[in-house]
Amino acid sequence: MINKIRNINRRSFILGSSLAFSCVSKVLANNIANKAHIVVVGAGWGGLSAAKTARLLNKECKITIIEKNKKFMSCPISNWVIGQIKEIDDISFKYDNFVKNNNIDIIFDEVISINLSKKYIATSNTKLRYDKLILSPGIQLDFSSIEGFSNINDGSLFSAWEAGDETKFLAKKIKQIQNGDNIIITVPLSPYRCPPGPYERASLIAAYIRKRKINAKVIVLDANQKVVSKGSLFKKAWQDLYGDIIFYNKDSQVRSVDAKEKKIFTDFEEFDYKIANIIPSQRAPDLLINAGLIEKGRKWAPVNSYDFTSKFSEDILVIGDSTDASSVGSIPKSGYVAYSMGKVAGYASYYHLIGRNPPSPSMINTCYSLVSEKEGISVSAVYKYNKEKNKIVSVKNASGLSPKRSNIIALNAWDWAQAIWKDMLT
Amino acid sequence: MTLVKFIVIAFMFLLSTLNANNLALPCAGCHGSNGVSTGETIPSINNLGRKYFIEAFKEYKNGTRNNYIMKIISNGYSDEQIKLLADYYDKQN
Repeated sequence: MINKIRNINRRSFILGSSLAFSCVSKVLANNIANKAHIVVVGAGWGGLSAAKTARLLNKECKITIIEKNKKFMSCPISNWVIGQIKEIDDISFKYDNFVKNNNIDIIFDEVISINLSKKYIATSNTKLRYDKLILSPGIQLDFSSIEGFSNINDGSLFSAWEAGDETKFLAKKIKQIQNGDNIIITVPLSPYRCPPGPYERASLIAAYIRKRKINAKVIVLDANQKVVSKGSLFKKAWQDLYGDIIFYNKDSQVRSVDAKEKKIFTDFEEFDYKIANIIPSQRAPDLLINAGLIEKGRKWAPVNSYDFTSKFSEDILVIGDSTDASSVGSIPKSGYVAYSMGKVAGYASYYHLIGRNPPSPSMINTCYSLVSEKEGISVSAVYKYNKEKNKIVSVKNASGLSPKRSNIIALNAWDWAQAIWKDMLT
Repeated sequence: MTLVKFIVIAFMFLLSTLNANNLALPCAGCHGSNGVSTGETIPSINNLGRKYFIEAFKEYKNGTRNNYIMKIISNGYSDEQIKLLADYYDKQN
């Protein structure tokens, strides 16, 4: 009996000491995290979500975001502006509430370099030391594969692929469409930002043409072999609604543009245009290449798929469109994915600071597209980390399309936008 | 032993709360911050009661409740994870 009590006491002592040690370690680790500086580059869907998640987990640490633009302009829903359904102000937001509610600083500046060994980033005005750096810089447009493009500087060609002035400019041009006009939209080879985006854009321009009873055409020149996302749903909508307006051409990579004659050339054909919306190839920004976070000749940043730490620096996490799908896994470059990745990176940066392994990532993507002013389609998936493949994969039976286009999906799309904007920006 | 047990339980509770957040946060993309929806066509999921939340989730999963997105999303979570989500959203205001 006495031995038994002694054993229990010994066990209690060992267990108690271990827990006490664990608690002390935790307190010390939290102290380190409290004094840490997390720097986030990019106040878009990934960056805002990451910064807010890190703040949720630690109220004391310093968090600073560096962002080029003074306003948040949403890429999702920007096609609605081009299609004359919404105004640019409907997709533009200030960062004031975000800064005030979350105790996070935003510096409006452009990062020009990252020093991996000394752990600081530099803008033209300042240098900031980081303990953890989360990079969510989006994409850089690459027009180099289109012959003659660099010589065209009369403002007649643009992508409107990063929401902003070009969105307004294209929206204005769409408003001026007249009988006989050809509007050409070019789609780059996948992967690119927002896979269904070009097809939604074509649909909404066609819807505007139909509504105004204009005799004009939307010609889609797709470098891919088929519609990259929601293919069956887009094709059905085009067949049912815009058979005489949308003309889809697969395997049609734009090779050169003649802005004087207003002609676009693919390998085999030439097309006359009134409005040319060239959506070019894309890659991660030069900043990441110059910092040594992308191998020579590659376009996107390789990361550890469990927590999105860079393959080249354990104190840097890369999220959103800039990440290399061959390292992350087959997930689309969508706004919701960037937002979900932000949450994983927020967790990972905090857990790394306290010396613990972050929880296994769990992410969601839902992506809505309008095919007309009142009808939408969608694709959804839940993603998790797969240890055997060392990749993010969609959970079995947890990915798929909406069965058909419908009014409720269009209404859901607008409610989704408002919910996710509010969650990111307040 | 009682104290040790208490510490262990408290520690496990803290861990489970953090993990639930990690699972639950992405839901806010559609259902709003803390599960409080902003629009009329996507429902709030906070304060529904654990039992209702779990039942509804399982009904989406087995097809007795129909929604074009939730029938896909519900398959992404195990029964254990659904309970953690229910715990988390039951406490959100």
